Amino acid sequence: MRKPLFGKTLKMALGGGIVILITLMAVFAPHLAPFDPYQQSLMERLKPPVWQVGGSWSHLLGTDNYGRDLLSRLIFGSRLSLLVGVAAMVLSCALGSSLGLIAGFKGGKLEKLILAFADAHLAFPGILLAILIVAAIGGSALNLILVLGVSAWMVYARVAFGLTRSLKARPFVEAAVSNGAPDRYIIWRHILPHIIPVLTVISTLQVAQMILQETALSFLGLGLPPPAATWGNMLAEGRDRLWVAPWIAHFAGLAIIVVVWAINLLGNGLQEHLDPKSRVLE
Amino acid sequence: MIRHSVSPLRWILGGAILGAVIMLLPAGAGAGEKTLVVGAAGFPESLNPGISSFSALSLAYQTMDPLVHRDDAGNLIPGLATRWQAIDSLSWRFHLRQGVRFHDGTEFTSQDVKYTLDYILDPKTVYGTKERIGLIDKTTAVDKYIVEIKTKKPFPTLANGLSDIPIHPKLYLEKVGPTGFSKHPVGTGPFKFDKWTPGDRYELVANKDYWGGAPKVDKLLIRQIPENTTRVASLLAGETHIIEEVPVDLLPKIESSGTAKVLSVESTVGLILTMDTRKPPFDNPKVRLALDYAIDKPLILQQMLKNQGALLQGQLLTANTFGFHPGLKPRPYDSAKARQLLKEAGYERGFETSITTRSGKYLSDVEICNAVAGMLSQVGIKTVVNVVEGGVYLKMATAREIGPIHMVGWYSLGDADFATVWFTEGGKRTLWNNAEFEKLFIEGRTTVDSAKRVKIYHRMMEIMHEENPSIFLFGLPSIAAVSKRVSGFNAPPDKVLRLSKVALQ
Amino acid sequence: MLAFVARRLLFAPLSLFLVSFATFVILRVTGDPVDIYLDINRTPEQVEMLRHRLHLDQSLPVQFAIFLGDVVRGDFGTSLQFAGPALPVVLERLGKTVQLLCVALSLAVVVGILAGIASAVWKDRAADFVLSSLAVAGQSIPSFWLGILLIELFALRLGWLPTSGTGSWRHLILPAVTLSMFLLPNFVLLTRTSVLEFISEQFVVTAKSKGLSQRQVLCKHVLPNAINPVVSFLGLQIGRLMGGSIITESIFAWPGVGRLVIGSIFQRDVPVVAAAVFIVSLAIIVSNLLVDIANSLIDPRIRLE
Repeated sequence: MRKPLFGKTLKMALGGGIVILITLMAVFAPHLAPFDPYQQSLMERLKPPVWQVGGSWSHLLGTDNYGRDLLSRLIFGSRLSLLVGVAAMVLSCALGSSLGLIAGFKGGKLEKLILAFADAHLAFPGILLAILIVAAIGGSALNLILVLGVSAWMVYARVAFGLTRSLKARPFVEAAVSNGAPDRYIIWRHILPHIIPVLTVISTLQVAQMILQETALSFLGLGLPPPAATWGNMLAEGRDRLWVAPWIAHFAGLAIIVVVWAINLLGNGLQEHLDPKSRVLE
Repeated sequence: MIRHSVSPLRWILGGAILGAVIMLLPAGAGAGEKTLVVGAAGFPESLNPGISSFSALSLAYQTMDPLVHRDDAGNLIPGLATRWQAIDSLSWRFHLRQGVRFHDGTEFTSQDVKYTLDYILDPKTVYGTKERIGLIDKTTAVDKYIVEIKTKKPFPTLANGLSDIPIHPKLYLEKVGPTGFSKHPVGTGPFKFDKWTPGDRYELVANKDYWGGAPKVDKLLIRQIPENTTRVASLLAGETHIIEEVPVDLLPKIESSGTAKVLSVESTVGLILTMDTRKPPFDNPKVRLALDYAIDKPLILQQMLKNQGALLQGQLLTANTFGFHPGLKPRPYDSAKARQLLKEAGYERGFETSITTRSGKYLSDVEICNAVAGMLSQVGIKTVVNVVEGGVYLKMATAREIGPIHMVGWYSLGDADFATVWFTEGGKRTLWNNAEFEKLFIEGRTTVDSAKRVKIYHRMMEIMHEENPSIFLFGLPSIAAVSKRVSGFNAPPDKVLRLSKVALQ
Repeated sequence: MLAFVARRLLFAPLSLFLVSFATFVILRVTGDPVDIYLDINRTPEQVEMLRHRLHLDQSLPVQFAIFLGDVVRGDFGTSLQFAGPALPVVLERLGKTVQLLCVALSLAVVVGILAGIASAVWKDRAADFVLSSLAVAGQSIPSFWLGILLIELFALRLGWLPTSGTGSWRHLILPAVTLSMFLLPNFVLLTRTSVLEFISEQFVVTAKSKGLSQRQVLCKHVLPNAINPVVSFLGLQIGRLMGGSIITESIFAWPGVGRLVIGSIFQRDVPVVAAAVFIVSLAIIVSNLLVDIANSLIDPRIRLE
């Protein structure tokens, strides 16, 4: 058999490496960024990157519409973009998997109710819900996290439910139940360890989705209010000037692609690593 | 395990065929006719000019006419009335154009004028531009072609006000009702209604019998293209012939295209930042003054607007408006002075505030707000920009809770009365109250003598300049871009597209 | 089979009820319609009349009951923008969205599955690497950026296709391609995984050993099984595609439900938003149902579950 050109180890190493690098960049943004990302300088606006005619070494990647240093905004932008993506993922994962766990473990009416809710919610396009809510309550980091988090719990619920239900039928869980072990102990000891790997894979891929959702909301003017430096905002602001200052949108777009690509890569690698047969949808 | 042979290829094939069939369904449009295509940034909510107020006028005036028209320079010219004069200080006489027919074939007469004005002024009617003619007391049809309008008080801006009132066909409206009218408007205008697809397109055909001369194209299509980049692309690709609302930074792209050009004209919109003077910190005049000094308006004009438009001269009114005070000048940019004033006001450490604005309502609105926010941050006032949508903005404005600072542009349409009303109780939106200003406003509205009126408005401008309820930024231009195939079109200072004389090569 | 469909059908009204409830709550939170319907020169009597007409003077549960009753009758109220009932407006626009969706979906399915098979057949070779990498990259592109880039390349630089709007099939291509990018990459990856999984199964190996050509093995034995997860995935993704159409329609000025709903949200045209949300949800529920049925046709085991 041929050796894979692009195996799971490479995927995890490359994806994980990039994710770690970008996380470090986010953490140490104030030390890395050459300028204050909010410092405007209208005289310097729309300066191209250093390698283009008119570019200068002081602004490596050029400046944006307000003369703000693009590199600094990109570096600081990783903070908000990752924060929103990760926090929204954590919220939806916590919400969804606990509901799924309860449904799978308790069964009965609760199960029907939770699954019905999940089904109904699946019929409601996530981005539409996010738009409706953000348009009503306004965009802030917290609101975005809440909205994106709440709009994606169903996947976790379904997966956690399915796994819990099948685990519950397994001999070792049945044995624990008949021995009178408390629910909390069974969940903690026997169920969680088995569903965490799968949830990890979904969560990883979900972060990428959340970052893209934030971008989409920014496009509609429903992201974080200006002057917040998020990649979505930069891309949205740059789109009107794609012909005169293409670098603004392109760098922001590339940043999003790279991070989403790396996260997806990591997720796919993890998935193959944990269970080469499992097919996790989304 | 059960294996069976429903070929999945059939699914794939089915999908492909379905896709192909759907793609082939719609056919192209008729050829040989000249269709003028306009790319608009946004459409009004409704074709009913009463509901959608000013933004619907541009669409309404394709199918309808007012008694008095404005030309592209903002001057009043005869519309459905050929001439008008004041009989005494409280009554006016309008002589109507004869032999004009509505699109449904009925003749336009004084009855239609009376019907329209009575309908709009009926307290039960909700009508956006009602205030423009609010001082009308009574309309009488003297004969078939003469209308007499009595006003409650002397009303020198009656003709200006009437230029915002399209004349509705009495018989048709009585037949179909307001809803039917919104669905299929009928008027005397240069184009006849054909089809209205909200949010997408407004299709019209030329009215060959138009009293002002038949339009030079056969059809008119106004398309809504909300994305700035897409709209400009559609012009450059030759799909549209005229586009509104061109982002300033894309102007060079259009100029250098060789197929299209930019038309820019001074408008009567004064773009200002209004502060909530009822609450701290803006109840303190020194803080308001500090903001005025902290904003480098010429720099924003030069860099963000590329010198399109003009600096407001320390007052609400643009220089082309009746009532403009030539003696006032904008305060210079002086951040040291701004800091000093803040210190005197007790805000040495600055404070946090926000600017509320809509997006795409005025030229570069959000961009200007962001630039201002950056400048305020320089003097220690941490400012965020709160971009809200039309519906929310309206709600906030009506409730008079619109945040500490908001950006707004007031059209004067050539007369101080229309712009200053928004700073009086009569405008129902003001956050600032000044007894002398109120008194002068009423006086100005009811004084017929022009020289006296000008003096009144000058004093009002002085009060605003001293009190600073708002920071006066720019007189915005109206920018349109047209294909070089288009002739006879001018960028309208009031955003009302005048297309009856536009030709397409 | 019938029992299965009946069971699924039973769930649909419940889903719709919950969707209606969510819509109602959101719309009530969104703001007071009085400010939207009436201008600033309104009189208290007008406000009173409007509140009464819209049942705003009733308690919230009563309002919801009235709302539900209206929904059942298909009456979502009168749209201000469109000067008429909201439902027909939405249905008219739905056609345009369905058109776009169908083309995008066909594109994603056909191209995605073919590329996925190619990628699996040539596993670990250059073609696989290129296709998989492209797919993962495709998953990562913000769609509106892609849309604008496509306009610039194909409409402006090359002049092959129109920039926006409707009129002919050529208008469909760019928006459909942009929208299909929401799904296409996932189809590639999913088909690839799925085919790979079955290609090593016992019965396939047996078939091969019986001397069937690779094409025959693929068509007869691998694809029928591998297609299943792809179809179930499709069902889950209709909602996402609907969401994606909001963005796509905005960029390409495509007059579908997506743009209608976003415009109506911004205009606070409550009846239209409610009708659109309801219809879109209904469409998603129905298509999920169809997918379930299709799936059970392809694979009888599902019915037994």
